[in-house]
Amino acid sequence: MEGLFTDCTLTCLDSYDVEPKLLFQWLRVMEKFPVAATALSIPVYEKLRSFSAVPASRRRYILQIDRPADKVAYPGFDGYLLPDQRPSKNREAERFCCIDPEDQLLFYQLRGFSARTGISARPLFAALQEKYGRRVEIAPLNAYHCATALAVQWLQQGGKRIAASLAGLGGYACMEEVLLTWYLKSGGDFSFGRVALPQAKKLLEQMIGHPLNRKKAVLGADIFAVESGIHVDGLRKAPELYEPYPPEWVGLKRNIVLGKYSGRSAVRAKAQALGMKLENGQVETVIRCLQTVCAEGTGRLTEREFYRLIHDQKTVS
Amino acid sequence: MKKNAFHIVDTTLRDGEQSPGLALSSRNKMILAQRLDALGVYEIEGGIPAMGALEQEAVKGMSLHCRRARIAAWNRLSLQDIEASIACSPDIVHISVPVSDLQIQKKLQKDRDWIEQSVRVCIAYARERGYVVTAGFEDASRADMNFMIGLGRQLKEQGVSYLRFADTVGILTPQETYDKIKTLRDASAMDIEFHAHNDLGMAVANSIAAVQAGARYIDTTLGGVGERAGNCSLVEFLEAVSLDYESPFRIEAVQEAAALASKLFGLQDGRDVSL
Repeated sequence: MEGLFTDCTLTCLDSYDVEPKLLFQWLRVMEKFPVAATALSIPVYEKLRSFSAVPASRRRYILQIDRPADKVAYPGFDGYLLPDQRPSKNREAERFCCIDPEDQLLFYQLRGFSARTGISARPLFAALQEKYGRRVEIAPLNAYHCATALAVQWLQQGGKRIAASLAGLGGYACMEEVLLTWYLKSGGDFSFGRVALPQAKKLLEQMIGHPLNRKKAVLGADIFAVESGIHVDGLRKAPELYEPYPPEWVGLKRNIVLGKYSGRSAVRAKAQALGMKLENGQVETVIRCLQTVCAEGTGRLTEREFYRLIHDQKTVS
Repeated sequence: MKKNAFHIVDTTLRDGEQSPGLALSSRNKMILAQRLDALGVYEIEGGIPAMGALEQEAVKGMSLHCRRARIAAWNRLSLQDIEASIACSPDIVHISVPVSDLQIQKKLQKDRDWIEQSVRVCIAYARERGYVVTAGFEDASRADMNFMIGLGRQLKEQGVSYLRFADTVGILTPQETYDKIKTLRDASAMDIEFHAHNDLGMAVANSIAAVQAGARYIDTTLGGVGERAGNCSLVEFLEAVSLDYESPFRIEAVQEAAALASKLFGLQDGRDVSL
C-alpha cells in the first residue's frame, strides 16, 4: 500500500504576509514528511526566490500556474499544475493537468467533491479510478467538513494520489489527518511525526500569524490533556485505553488537568507528576475544592492553585 | 432528500463538559439545556449523578425544566451509579458498558462473562423501576463484533431502547463505521446511536456514514467540544447531513447556541474554527 501525497500548503498563502525565510524553512521541513511533491503558487515562489533558490530535494516541486505561458517564465520545476481547458462532464470537481517541462502529462488533479460525505463518494471514486487509472490525484475540499474522510475513502478504495495542506489551510483536507490515518490503518512507521509535525505546525502558525486551535486533531496543544477520573485511572493502567495513538507520534505529551471530573487517582497522579506526596485527607480536600470551585469558576485548577491548596492545608494542620 | 432519518442526542453537558479544563456552573448548565431543548434536540445527556450533589441538582433541574428533550443520566455499570441517577428522575437511564477486551481486561480487570452478568443485573434494576434505558458500548470500535452482537441481543430481550456505538478513541473511517454499524444493527435488531470523536478529523463524516448504515441517533456537542480533539460538532454535522437528508433544524439557531456555549465555557473560539 502506498500513497502519493502532494503538500499544497504553499499554494494557500497568497493573501498572507509571510516572511520569505519561513517559506524556505517550510520546504526543508517537508523533506521530513512522507510527501512525494510540494506545490507552490507563483506569488509564494516569487517571495521565496527573493530569499533563496528552491533547495535541492528528493521531492518534486510543482508550480501552480494559470496559463501555459507561465511555464516558460518560471523554468526549473518538476511539474506545472494548470487548469484543464477542455470541457468536462464531471460537475463535482475542477480538472487540472500536471505536466512536466516537456509538456508530457504527469497526472490529472481533480479538485472539489465537497458535496460528498465519505462513503457516498464510493461509486464516483470507483468510476474515476476506472477512467484515469493511477494518473489521477484528488484534492477534496472541506466546505462540508468531510475532506479528510474523502481523502481516506479514496485511499481505502485503492486510490494513490492525494493533495492536502497542513491543518487544512485553504479549505483542503488536513494533510496530518490523512497521513496519520493512513499510517494507523496500514501499520506503517510514523516516526517522522515526532519531530516534523511540531516543526511544521510552528512554521504554519508563524506564516499565518496566529496559533492553531488547541483542540485541532493531531496538532492541537491540548489533545492529550486528560481530566476525568475514569480516564486518568485508565491511562495509568494502560495509556492505549483512551488514546487513539501514542502522543509521542505527533510530538506531544500526556498532561493531567485537574477539574471537576478529576477523581482521587487523577489528583494523586498530578501530585506525582509535580513531585508531591499527598495524605488521604489532602486528596479529599482537593476533590471537594474541584467540585465546587471548578464548577463555579474557570473550569480548571491551575498548577499554582493546586500547590497553594496543598500548602495552605499543610499550614492549617 | 430522505426524511426523518436521525435524532440528535446532544452530549455537550456530559462528554463536552468532560473535556479537560471545561466546566459549567449549574446555572449555565441549565441555560444551555434549555437552549438545546428549544432547538429541538431529541435527547440531552445531562450529566453523571454519581459524581455528587451538584451534578444531581443539575440533572434534576433539567428534567423539570426541559419540555421537549428527554434528559438522560449517565452511569457506569454499577448499581450505586444507577441509584444516584434514579434519585434525579431522568427520562432516560444511560448505562455505559466497556466492550473491548482492552477495556474489560486492562481497565476493569474483569472478563466478558462478568460484563454480560453485570449488564443483565444493572439493566434489570433500572427497567424494573420503570425507566427507559439506553446502553452505551464504550470502545466499540476496537471490540469483537460477535461479542457485541450477543450483548446487543441480550439488550433487546431486556427492553433497552437503543444501543450507543461509541468510537471512544476516534479511530474509525467512514467505511469502517458504515460496515460495523450495519453489521451490529442487522444482527442484533437494536436501534443504534453513534458517538464519534474527532481524533482523525472524521467525526462528521463518520456520523453521516452511521446514518447511512441505519443509525437513528447521532451524538453531537455544541462547537464540537469534548475530550482530546473533541466530539462531532452539531453545526458541522447538520450542515453536512443536509446534503442528503431533510433536517428539521434551523442552522442559524444552532450556530447561536454554539456561540453561547463557547461563551459560557470561556472559549475564545469553538473547535469548529480549526485554523
